[in-house]
Amino acid sequence: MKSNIKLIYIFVIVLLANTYSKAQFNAGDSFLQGSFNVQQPLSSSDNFSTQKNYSIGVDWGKYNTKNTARILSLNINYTNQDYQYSAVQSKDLNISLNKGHEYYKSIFGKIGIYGRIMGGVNYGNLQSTTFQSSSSIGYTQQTINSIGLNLTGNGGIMYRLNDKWAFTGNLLNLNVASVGYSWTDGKRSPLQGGSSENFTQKQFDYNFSPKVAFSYGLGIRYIIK
Amino acid sequence: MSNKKTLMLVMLFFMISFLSKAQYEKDTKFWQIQGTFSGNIASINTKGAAIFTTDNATHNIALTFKRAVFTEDFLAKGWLLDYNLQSNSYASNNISTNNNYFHTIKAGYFVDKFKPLSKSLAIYGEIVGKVGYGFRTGNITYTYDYNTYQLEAGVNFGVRYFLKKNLFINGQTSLVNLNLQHSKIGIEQQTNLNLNSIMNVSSLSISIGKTF
Repeated sequence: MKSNIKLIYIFVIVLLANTYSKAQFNAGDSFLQGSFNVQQPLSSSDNFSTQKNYSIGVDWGKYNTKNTARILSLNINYTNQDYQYSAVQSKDLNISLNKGHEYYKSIFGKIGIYGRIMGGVNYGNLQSTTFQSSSSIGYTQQTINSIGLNLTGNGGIMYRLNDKWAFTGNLLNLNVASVGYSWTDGKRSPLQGGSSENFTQKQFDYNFSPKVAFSYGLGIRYIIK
Repeated sequence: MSNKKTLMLVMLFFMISFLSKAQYEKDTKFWQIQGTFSGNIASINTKGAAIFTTDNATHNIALTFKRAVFTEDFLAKGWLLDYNLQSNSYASNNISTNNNYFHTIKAGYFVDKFKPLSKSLAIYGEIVGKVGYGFRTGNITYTYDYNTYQLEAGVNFGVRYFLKKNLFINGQTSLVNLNLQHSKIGIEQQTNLNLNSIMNVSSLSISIGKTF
């Protein structure tokens, strides 16, 4: 009887050790993590607005130690919005490239927590047409280009499915600081008569406001041995 | 050999226990600061029937300083100072027409109760009360006065993480906040009472501090 209990204990310890070992990463391991999102209305019942959104994100990382990894992240986001009855249209493209570090700690079995701190550059291009029936200026067409530098982070839970695959669940986003510069070229046209006017705008923005916000998202990670 | 291992384990346990307690034990003091800065500067050139230029600038600065002492183990009491500045300026064809600075100064008292979770991590609850005064300065186009008087009470929840033995960062969010504000803007007087609950909270503010 005692011998059986001992065997069960050994079996449980071996099982736990096996499960635990799968949660670890090894120095030198690389990984690819991707996300892809398409948002497009399937029916035309919502005639007031049509918004299509496409986004793709690719992260490449390499573990320096079993707990830290270097990360390079590329994200592209495109949104096309069309309000059919108000003749408002916008096309918004954003590209960002970030580099940083990821910190990982196994907490139980195959489950661990991770946190990232990233610095990056971004470029945005927004083309829009707006219509104001209550104003003497009817249509405003403008193109806004923007560039920026930012320091951000995020954190969440990771589940190591096996040696090759892991799931990440993002829980928190951290915004530390950003600086940006944007330049706008536009044209305002009156509703009736009169002449159009052209305008240009240059704007500098800065923000240092370290805050953590709740944010949820899922990712799939492929580990390259 | 086995006794030596046991002794070392016991010593290690006591060291960890001592370290986690030393940061929150009676007579330990700490200070912490929090600052946020944001704003933008914009210039617009318009060419139509007439040519004109407008320049806008807005800046926001918020600073908080806290100082406290542990009057009991895991219980700290102290005072705080908040300073908030919002400025905006507007100029047309390089002629400054408006330049306002809105200042708010608050002073308060707070009590923190800590619960260490590990050697470097603790959660805490906070009760805080503040009084505040707001006023405006600058090149004022409008002739009305601007003054605010505030009373504030709140309950906060936070996490404290020690980066080093006596250097920490705090992440804190408001659970409940009650704000009574009396405003005197020109000849108009207005009193507002706001109650914000955890349902309105979606972010944590971050501060850095030091124990001594």
